[in-house]
Formats: sequence, structure tokens, C-alpha cells
Amino acid sequence: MVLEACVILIDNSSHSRNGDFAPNRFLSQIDSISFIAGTKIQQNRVNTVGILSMSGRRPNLVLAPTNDVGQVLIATNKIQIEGKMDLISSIEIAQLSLKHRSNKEHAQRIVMFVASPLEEKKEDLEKIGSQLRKASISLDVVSFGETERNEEKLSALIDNANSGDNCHLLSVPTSSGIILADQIQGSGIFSSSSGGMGGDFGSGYGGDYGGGMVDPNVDPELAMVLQMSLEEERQRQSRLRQENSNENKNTNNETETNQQGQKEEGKKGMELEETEKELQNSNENENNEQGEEMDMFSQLEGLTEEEQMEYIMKMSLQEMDSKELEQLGINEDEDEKEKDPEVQNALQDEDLVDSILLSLPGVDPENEQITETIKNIKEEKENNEEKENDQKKEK
Amino acid sequence: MTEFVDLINSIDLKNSECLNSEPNQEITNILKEDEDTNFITSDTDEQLLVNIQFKQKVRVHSIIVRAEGDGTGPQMMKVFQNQFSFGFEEAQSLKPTHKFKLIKRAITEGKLIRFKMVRFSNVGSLHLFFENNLGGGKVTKIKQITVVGVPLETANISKIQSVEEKK
Repeated sequence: MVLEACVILIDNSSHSRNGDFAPNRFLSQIDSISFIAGTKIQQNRVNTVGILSMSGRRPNLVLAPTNDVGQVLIATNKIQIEGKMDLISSIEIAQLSLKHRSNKEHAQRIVMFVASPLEEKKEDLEKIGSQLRKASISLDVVSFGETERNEEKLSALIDNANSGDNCHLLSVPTSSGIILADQIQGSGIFSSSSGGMGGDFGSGYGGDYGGGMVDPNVDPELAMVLQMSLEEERQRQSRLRQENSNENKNTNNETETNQQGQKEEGKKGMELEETEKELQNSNENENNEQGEEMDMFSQLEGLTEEEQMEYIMKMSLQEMDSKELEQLGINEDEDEKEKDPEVQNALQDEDLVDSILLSLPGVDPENEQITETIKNIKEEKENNEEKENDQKKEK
Repeated sequence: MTEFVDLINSIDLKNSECLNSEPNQEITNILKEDEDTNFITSDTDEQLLVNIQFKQKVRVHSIIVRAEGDGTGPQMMKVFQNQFSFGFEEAQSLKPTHKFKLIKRAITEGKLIRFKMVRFSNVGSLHLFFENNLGGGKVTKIKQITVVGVPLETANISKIQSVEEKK
């Protein structure tokens, strides 16, 4: 994945008013710029794109390199058509802008649109080409509208700037019905360096949020993390399924809904494995409870809308069975009590409870709620004792 | 008397670069110790610009430039320090801290080229502009560059370790 800072040079001279590229040369450049900027930033979120207008009183850096595509689109609206193109100064200003880029690790690139007949001498162009090469700046030129007249000069420029095939000249001949952005997309210049993720700007964005797998070439570390969490999820799923099949049926629910619940979970589990997008949320520091909660929600995501509605209806109609309660982190009273014997014993001791309550600020021991809760605790304690006695009798 | 050392460990290789070198050549060719099989060769013309970034401030005592004796070795070397975004335009317009005219013996035998240490007492980055070569040809080649000096007692970021690692 190429880390790149790019400055796009737009030809906003009067020659761009020409309508041979619909709607006119200038607007087709704007169109292409949004495509190029989108592709580059989609390839790598940290790539930066800037825009410089070449014509007018002087070349003007309309947008300093940024990785925000929105800013690119806004900036293109500010450019006016005026004057004549000044190629040499534009390239020099672009070079300066790249030199002062914020992240020195970015490779430097200039993309230049040429739609007017060049007046500069060939030697000057060769000189500036060499200057770019020395500063390790790669140059791409999109020539359209005046291709034959500029062919020789632009080839000389590219040849001098080229070192190891990093510079390209794309000449788009004038013919009816050609859309500049399509030609650029088809040529693959702007996607070639990254290994084929470019070329389809629209779905690229969708893919980013919708969650296809990350290309391991693109970001090996992220791919590895995703794989690890995939493995963990699979293990957890298989463990849960085993627990579910081993658990006894509870008194609360009908066996049918229980089985249905199991089947649904099984289905969800499989869908979880199939759809990997949940894992983009995976956090290595998840504890078990959190993981199970997310597991629940991510399972919901995995179902289609219909199935989700079905599931929600079922949930609201029936009392939730204890398995699912557990998954949500709510444990039934019995389980809780069994878990902490010390606390239970302490609670049994009436005097101790009274004294604790007295010491708490704002608690009125006479308060109804409190007396009731204490009663409940006592009753359950008695129930527990009864159960124990029953079990002993059975033995 | 402080000992002067090869400052190779203080060099931040990641942020050092060589401009106008042939593509696919890396700065480690000349800054890392190796058997001199790797060169830096100039590309578009005979000029080379080596930007060396240090991990901490250093005092530079001298420098050794090694090259072949066949005329591709550099001749005029201009030394700048602590510059930001240093390119060929700046190299040709700014006044260097030091200017050296290298001789063939110095580069083939790897002799120490002494700097005036008072001028190089607080160096964060060193920029070497090789303007031309001994033979006058279009290609300049450098085998190895060694910077000799002493690091100043400022924090060396690379030495910061987490507590667990130390245990």
C-alpha cells in the first residue's frame, strides 16, 4: 500500500472552456479530480491530496494536501476559468508544497492535467523534469484536448522525470462521447501502484464500511488481528454450543421454544462464521461478559431483517429463558447466591445485617422496602435449607 | 578528554535519506557497516545530497567518506546542519557551515576529515551536499560515510523501554 502525498494540477485556462469534452474541458477535469482523490484516499486513509490551479494571475494552491475527500470536492468549486496556463511555475509551487508535507514518509506525486497548447520550450520542460526526478517526485500527466501539439513536449517531460517507471503520460484523444473520468479509470494509472483496489470508487467506499475482508497485502497487521479474533469467536461459539446442548431444561419454558432457541443460536453461530464483518469491532481486551453481549448483538446483525423481526417478536412474547439471560450478563438469584458463600452467610446473620443497615447513611431501618427485602432473604434461606434437607432425605 | 565514537548508533536511519540516488538504492548502503559492496550512485546528474538525522543531539568531530579512486568519488562537499526539508535548491543557495574539497587519497584511504567542533556542538541533523566529483563525469559514487563524534546527554528515545521488558 503506497503512502503518498499528491498534488493535482488543474488547467483552468480559457482553453478549458472548450466543449469537446462534455460538458466542457474544465468540468471534466473537476469530475476526474474527485475520482482520483477518492481513489487515492480510499487506497490509504493517510494519503493526502492537494489541488493547485495553474492559470490566472499566478498559480494558486487552492487546497493544501489533506486526506479529507469532502474538502477536495469543496475546493474544486472555488476555481474559476481564467488566463493562460503557466506550467513551470505551477510545478515548482507544487514541488514546494510537497516538500513541506507533514509526514515525511509519504512518497511525492504530482498529477497534471494539460488541456491547452504548451508555449514552454522543450529544454525547459526537460530541465524541470530532471528537477522532479532529483527530488524523487513522480509525475503523471493527463493530456487531452490538444494532444497532438503537446505530445512531443510532454513525452520529453515525462522521460526526464521518469525513474523506474513511476511517471505516466495519458493522452486522451478527442472523440465524441468520451468521458475523461472514465478514460482515467480505465487506464488504471491511479490504481496500478496499490495492487488493484482502485478503479471502482463507489463500491470501494461501500466496501470499506460494509466490511469485506481486508486485503492482507494492504495491511498485514490488521489482517492478522482480524484472523485472531475470528479464531477466538469460533472457539467461543463452539464452546457455547456445547454448553447449550449439555444444560438441563429449566422449569420456566416450554421445551419447544427452548429447542427453537437452540436452533436459532446454532444458525446464528453459523452466520457469524460466514459473515466476518462483526470482527471489525473486535477488541483484544474484551472480557467474557462483554464478549457475550456483543456476541448477542453481532448475531442479531448477522440475521436478515425478517429474521431479526421474528427473533425480536419471540423475545418479547416469551419470558427470556435463562440461557439468554446469562448471555446478557443477568444471572438468576440462585446462581448468584451459590457463587459467594461468605456473603450469604453474613446475610443470614440478622444482627449483622441490622448493624450494617444502621451504619449506612440515609437508610431508615424501619423502611418498608428494607424490612421486606430482609424477609425475602430469610424466606429464601429457609427454602434453601428445605431443599438441602430434601436432598439429604433422598440420599 | 572525551572519547570520540562512531556515531552510527545515534543515526535515525528511518528519517535519513539520500537525494538523487538511483532508485532502489537505500541510505543504509552507505550509513550502515557492511562490506562496501553497496554503493550510492547518483542518478540524474553528478550531485548527491545526503541528509542524516540523529536520534539525539551530537557533537561532530570528523567524518570519513569512502569512495573509489576512479574519478567517481566526490570532490566538493558542503556541510550544513539542523536544516528542515533540505533539498537541492537550499543546498545551492544557503551558506554551508563547512566546505571541503576532498582529495583522492582522503577518500580511497578513508582518512578523517576534521570538522571545527565548536561549530558542530549541537547537531540534530547533518546535511552533506556533494556538488561534483573528482573526474568531472556525470556519475558520482560513494561507498561509505562514517560520522565520528560524541552524543550529547539528551534523552535517547530508542533507549526508553517499558518496565516489564527490563525485568
